[in-house]
Amino acid sequence: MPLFNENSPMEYDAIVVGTGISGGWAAKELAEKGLKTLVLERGRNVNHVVDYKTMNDDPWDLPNNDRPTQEMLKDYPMQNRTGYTVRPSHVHWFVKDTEHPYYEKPDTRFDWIRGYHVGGRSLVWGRQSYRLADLDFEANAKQGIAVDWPIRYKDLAPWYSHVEKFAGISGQKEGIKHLPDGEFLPPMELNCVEEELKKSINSSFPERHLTIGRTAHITGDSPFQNRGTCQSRNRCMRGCPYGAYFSSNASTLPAAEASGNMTLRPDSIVTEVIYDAEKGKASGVRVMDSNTKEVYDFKARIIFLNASAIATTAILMNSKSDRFPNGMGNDSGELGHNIMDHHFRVGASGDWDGFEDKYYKGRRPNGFYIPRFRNLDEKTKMPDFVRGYGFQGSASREDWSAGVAELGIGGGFKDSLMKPGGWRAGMTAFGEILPYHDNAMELNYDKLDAWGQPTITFSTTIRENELNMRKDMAVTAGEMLEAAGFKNISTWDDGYGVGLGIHEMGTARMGKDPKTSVLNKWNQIHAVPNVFVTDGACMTSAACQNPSLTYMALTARAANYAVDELKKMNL
Amino acid sequence: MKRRTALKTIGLGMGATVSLGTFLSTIQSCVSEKESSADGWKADYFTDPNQQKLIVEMSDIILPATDTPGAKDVEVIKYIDATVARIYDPKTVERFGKGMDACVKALEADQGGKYSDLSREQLTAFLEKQMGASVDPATHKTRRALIAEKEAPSGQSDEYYLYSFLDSLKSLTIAGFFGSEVIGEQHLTYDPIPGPYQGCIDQNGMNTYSLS
Repeated sequence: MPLFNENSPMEYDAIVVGTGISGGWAAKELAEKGLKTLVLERGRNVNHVVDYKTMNDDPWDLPNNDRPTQEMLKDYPMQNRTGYTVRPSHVHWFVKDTEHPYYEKPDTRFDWIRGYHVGGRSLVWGRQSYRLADLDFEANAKQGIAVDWPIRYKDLAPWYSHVEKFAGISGQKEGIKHLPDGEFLPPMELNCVEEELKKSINSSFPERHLTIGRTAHITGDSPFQNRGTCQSRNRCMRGCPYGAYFSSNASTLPAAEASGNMTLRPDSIVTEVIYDAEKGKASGVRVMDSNTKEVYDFKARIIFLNASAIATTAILMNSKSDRFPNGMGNDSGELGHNIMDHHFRVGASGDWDGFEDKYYKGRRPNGFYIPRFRNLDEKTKMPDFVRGYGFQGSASREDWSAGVAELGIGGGFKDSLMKPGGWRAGMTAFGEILPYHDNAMELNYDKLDAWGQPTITFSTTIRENELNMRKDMAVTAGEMLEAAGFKNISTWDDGYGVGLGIHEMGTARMGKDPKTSVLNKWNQIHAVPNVFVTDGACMTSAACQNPSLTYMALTARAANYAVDELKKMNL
Repeated sequence: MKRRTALKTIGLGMGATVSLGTFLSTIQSCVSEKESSADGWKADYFTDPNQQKLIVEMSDIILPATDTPGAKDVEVIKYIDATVARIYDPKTVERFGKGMDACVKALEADQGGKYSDLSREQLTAFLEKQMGASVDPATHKTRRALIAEKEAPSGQSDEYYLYSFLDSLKSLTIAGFFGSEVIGEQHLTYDPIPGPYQGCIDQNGMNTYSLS
């Protein structure tokens, strides 16, 4: 990557703050359109492939068979709320809470799971990629909840296509109106038991569907840019040696680099956006070098904030001026409010009798998807909650670990555990959370971080609509397995804290009215038109689909608009 | 570790074109060079040699050598020791320690004599009684319900700690054994770079995959 050095300029056409999924897209689109672009990242640099230190380690190659020690866990009390982030194979992609603390108001919980490095969470994301639909964009307006989205599906559809073609999304076209089809690479296969479940759902529940997950992996035989095909190793979270899944490091940053217009500066903490009162625009950003703590001002004509929903909003809240005493763009008082996520960890599992002579090959980094089937229309309207949820799940054969709970010791017992066990399937729901003004973050100037910057205090919780939805999730998961003939079905609700879905969003929402929203329909701050926010902060409602693909599309759309406006001298 | 070097080289070379056959032969040529186990290992938790010996024997009775290696051969004790010493949280360590005491007590009462003097046959007889295939399934179910409790119910302390311990021992033995390099690479189905996922193939007697 072309890194910033002492000869690099201090003034650019564009500045992008953040290198995760949306920042990478902003960098690519702006640089490819000819803008000299400075890309700032608060964490360390990560070179594609060469810095994926654990990518080929087997469990026995890793310390403690890839389990966290009590000593390790001391640094990660919040990150470890996921139960899977703190492992030797990928813990280096997550922040130490001891170095990057945050706080929660009494009796509330917010799980802020972060990685500070070039590529951000694009290296560790779940890769599930679904379009939103007008069912989602129209919901707030129809139900009188929060504010209306200023865009509709038709505004975003071409941009979904644009980003899908470049990112590489594998999936199956299904013709489902509320889960629009995209530009898909060949779908991954379902296994035999998943096929049985699909058949049963099709015949037992006319409004429900099961499809293979739509995932940002390269599949099929055609060459795809400079990236390799998914080899089903399921070690995505360590970084992929083939570049087979979409990440900024594998995809967008190399494209931005190839344009010759990008300069990347890691170790750069953006502390505020600088406001020029005379011009009524931002003039640049203030940066503290995370190593030297020296402070620099960088200038640009446009600024894209892509630091993540929480960090972007924290930067704006900390960008105080006479014009914006409560933070840049906060005329509405909505900045830092309406935090959403997807609530999950409710589902069902069961055993399948049969197919003992069948197996699969590969560790498919993907599962099946059951799109939303509640509150689509009058017929599917639920009495005690609005919006809906989808399911993600898979079937597989059990391994030796099932032997722990069984009776038996000795040689015959050992030999039996060498063979695959019975088939099991399970699914977990991912549900929409409504935008609540009181789910909020604020800057904490009493507790500063190691760089003298304010920390964040959160106050978030799910409410009646989500709690009622969770009851329904468990019921429908169980009934689909039951209808398909699974045995020993159990349903669960393992509890949930806002943020645990790592789909946090909504803190600088888009809207039509500057009095009630932060951003306009082009993701511009209403009152500061050369500042664009295109990460999760911009979301007006959450829908129930995994959001990253939408961030990509919104970013590409806003970046191309910004370039056009610059050319027209409107910015 | 030449195998790892080989893996890394393949990874760096955009391995989409590396054939599986080439890859497997690379691995197999390296397996015979495995380092010896005489490595001066010292226990962090089982520092009492008699206790350590008991764990080594019992884990090897749970998974003994047949025509494939057993728990002793793959040094499962190292995994068990590291887990209790470094992975378990303090509460689980305490429960494990109490369970070990309860197990010794039950073992000595059942077989007579000091636990460290008991023969492998005597240890086997004890473990068969507690967790062998001939245990009444209803009894087994009751015991599993008991150890699912967070604390020992009053009056059932000995039983609670004994069966918690035996469950932990079995779980650690199985995880350490099947998660070991020797079993994972030479005895289970080792498939590091599977290629495109195939959802429905004939099992044809193949063993479980070692990687997940």
